[in-house]
Amino acid sequence: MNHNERTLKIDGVEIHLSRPDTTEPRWIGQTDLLKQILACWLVVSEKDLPLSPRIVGMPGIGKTTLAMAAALERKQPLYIFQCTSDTRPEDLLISPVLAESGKITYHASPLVSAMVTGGICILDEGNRMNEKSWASLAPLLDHRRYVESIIAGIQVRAHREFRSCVTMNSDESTFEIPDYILSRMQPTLKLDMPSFNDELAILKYHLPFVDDEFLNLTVEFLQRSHQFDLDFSPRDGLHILQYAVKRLRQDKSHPLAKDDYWREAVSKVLGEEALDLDELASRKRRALGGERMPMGLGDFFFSGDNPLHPDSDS
Amino acid sequence: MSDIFKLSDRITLLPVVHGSGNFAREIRSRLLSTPCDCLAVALPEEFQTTVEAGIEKLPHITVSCLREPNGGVNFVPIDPCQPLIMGLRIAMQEGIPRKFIDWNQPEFEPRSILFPDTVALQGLSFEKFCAAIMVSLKRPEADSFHDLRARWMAFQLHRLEMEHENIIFICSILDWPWVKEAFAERKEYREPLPAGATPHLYDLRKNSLYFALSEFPYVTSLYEKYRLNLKSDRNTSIDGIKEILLHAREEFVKKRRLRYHGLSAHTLQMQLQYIRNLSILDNRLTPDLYTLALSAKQVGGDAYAIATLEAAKEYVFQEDRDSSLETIDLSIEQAVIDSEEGAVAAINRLSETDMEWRRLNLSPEPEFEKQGEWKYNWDPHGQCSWPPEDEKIESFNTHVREQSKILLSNDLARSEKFTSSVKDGIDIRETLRNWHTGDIYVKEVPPSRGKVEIVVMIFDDEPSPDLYTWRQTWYAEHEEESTLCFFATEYLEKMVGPGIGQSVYGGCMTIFPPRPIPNIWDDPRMRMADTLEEKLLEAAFFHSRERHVTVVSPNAPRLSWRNLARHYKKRIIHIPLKRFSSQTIDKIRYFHVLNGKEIRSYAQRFIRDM
Repeated sequence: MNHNERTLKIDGVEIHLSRPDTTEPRWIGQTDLLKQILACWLVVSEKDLPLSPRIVGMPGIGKTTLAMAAALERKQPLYIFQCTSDTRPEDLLISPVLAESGKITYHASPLVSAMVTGGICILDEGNRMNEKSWASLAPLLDHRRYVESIIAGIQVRAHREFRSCVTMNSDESTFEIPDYILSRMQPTLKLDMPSFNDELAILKYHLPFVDDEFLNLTVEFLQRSHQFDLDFSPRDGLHILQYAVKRLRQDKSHPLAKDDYWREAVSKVLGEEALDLDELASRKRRALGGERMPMGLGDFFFSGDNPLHPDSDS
Repeated sequence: MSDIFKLSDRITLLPVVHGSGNFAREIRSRLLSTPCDCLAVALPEEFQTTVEAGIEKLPHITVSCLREPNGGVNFVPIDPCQPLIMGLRIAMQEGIPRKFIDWNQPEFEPRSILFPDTVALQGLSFEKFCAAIMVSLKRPEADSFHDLRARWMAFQLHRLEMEHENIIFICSILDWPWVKEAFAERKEYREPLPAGATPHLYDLRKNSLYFALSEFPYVTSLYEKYRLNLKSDRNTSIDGIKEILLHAREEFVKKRRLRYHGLSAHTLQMQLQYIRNLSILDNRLTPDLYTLALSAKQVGGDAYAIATLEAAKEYVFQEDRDSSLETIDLSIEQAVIDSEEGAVAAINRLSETDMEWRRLNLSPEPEFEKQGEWKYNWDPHGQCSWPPEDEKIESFNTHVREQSKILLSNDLARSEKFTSSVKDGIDIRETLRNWHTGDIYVKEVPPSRGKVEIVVMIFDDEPSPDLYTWRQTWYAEHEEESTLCFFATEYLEKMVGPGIGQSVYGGCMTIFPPRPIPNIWDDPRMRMADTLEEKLLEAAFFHSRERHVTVVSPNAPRLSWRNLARHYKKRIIHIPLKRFSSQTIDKIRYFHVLNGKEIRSYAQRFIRDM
């Protein structure tokens, strides 16, 4: 392979490779998940194969960042392929491009580029992609580890170091992924909403110039919304803060209006009804009564009121 | 036997890692292959009666407990996978005299370190494993509890030497070098302090087994089964994990009456690979309960994880009510002996491995009594759906309708030479095929003929009327929701929360855009159908304003279905159920019925993800 020109010849066909992503994100909190991705990508012998996990969770929660951070940990080149509903198999593998000379040149997708260079590929928002495109990846995701490009007429074998994962949103997907593909993308790593401290650290990391008052207001708001299973994510928090800070900059003479700007930011980013969290909370409390929800590993051994319950904090 | 375990011509010391089935196997084989006229163990003398009585009761698990002056207890679990218990069991079986020679004081001082995984014993000799650990062992502080123990045990061994010729002594690997040193140097010793109480034998409740046994209860029961059937238990610690997963899958499928599921051999292989990798990153070779449950949750969902947990803690030889002994409940470093007294501190004398309890979000099945209470409180006048599930079925329906449209227009797509319009886009394949001519080809996909108003989904090949006893027609709450007719299991039979019942569709029919129709199950106009699925199909053909009706079913439409369609002058577009992932189908099939709209505000807390 010619590294400068980033071209490669496979079976006599010259392929132009994509460039890797050079972003270096930092992963904050939920370190177990990072370890779980690395466990999927671990191989212990010549015959062992890596797993291709699915990372699922609400939009804006950091699925892609998590996968990017895992790639960074492994110190391998990272390629990201954004899947859409009209992604076709050739987009996913090798696309023919009409060059200025009038000839056809073949351009490898980020996925194929990762395959041949021994990189890591994140198939972002994989559930947006249709079944036909997924089918072209079936041999890649099992022990065969190759793809067939019909357009270029070649078979591309994956480098031994090639790793992949797919991110998927928990919202309703455009396409239903068939069983034979889902069974190749195991396990499913679910990303939950971050804890208070993690969320605060995330917002602080991305917006280090925002004052603590705004940060705390936003994190408290987000944490309460997580409790009520509302779909407000850290990304929404970032947008709220960015908007609020910009509004405040416009009018520096009224420091008392801070709270008003923050409320305005919430309503502009999330809609008017997002400001009614209190009402939502009280309704929930009324409905729930005193019922305790069994929700953990310890509940399989002892009931919640048992002093031996291993999950109790006492 | 190697000399490294020799204390003298008459004494062999077998160091063990407490709580390891692999060490227990090793001890058994050493004891059975070495001449022995006395077995000494590192337990205080006062435990002998109760521990041996407990061993007599094996495979039923009991616990020998000693009260401490501070109110807590220290205990010896009579666990067949404890090497020390295994040694005593073999000695009792072979008629070898036993001596309990440990030093004691009223309050036991526990210690814990991170041991390498003892599965390594399968590829490494006992001697090498012990020698490798020995270099990292820390000397106990002078005159500390464990120092006094080592010196006292060395003295006791000198005494035993005078009476016996072939003594085998089993003690913790943490004591091995210091007992050896005290024995060789004849170090001074102190008399043990009076315990102040005598140990008492308790029966152990089933739910506490995980906290008392060193291996998973299921793996322990496998060891016992192999012992009863005189089978080899060489790979039980690894194969036991595989058996847990297989047993869990069996129970999961049986409980949910699943016909299709994604837990194939390939999936289990991937799960095992994932378990192995997670264990390696945790510096272990075998998984703990958390890793096992986590992997099951991530591979097969919450329900499979629950089945795995239930399988891992299953121990067939333990019945709560069969014992004449008083019972004890154990948890992590806590015990309840007397419910009025509450939880007291509890120290396992045969546990020196660091144990970490990690939390995992899983919802167990509600208790039977709770289910009865919720069922009793059900208001017969309130019944509504759970909106996220409505959205799921609507989204799936949209997808099925799109697929039907594609099937209808599939054969109509054509390519033609580019003249003035690119139509539905350049047909790159056709253009390349005719590259030599220099022409560009464009694709045209004409709109499909007709629409699909009704989708029928049948999930079982032959749905039984005895199973699917609940038949309903639900009307749309808003314009984006379909009219839904279905047959399903009785929701009152499976209560998952207060005012929340779970049901399973056998088949359903959706009409979109929604419109009110008489309840199809009481409509006298439809009387050709004989079975549940035919009734649903007949209603679909009867009410459909479009010529095509989409039927999603496991098998191709039967002749009777086609006859019905012909009668109502309709055509069936068949989509095989297998086209969709079983995970997707499960998500749609399992739905919840709420006892009124107010339940929606908290239902999320009780409804488990599929």
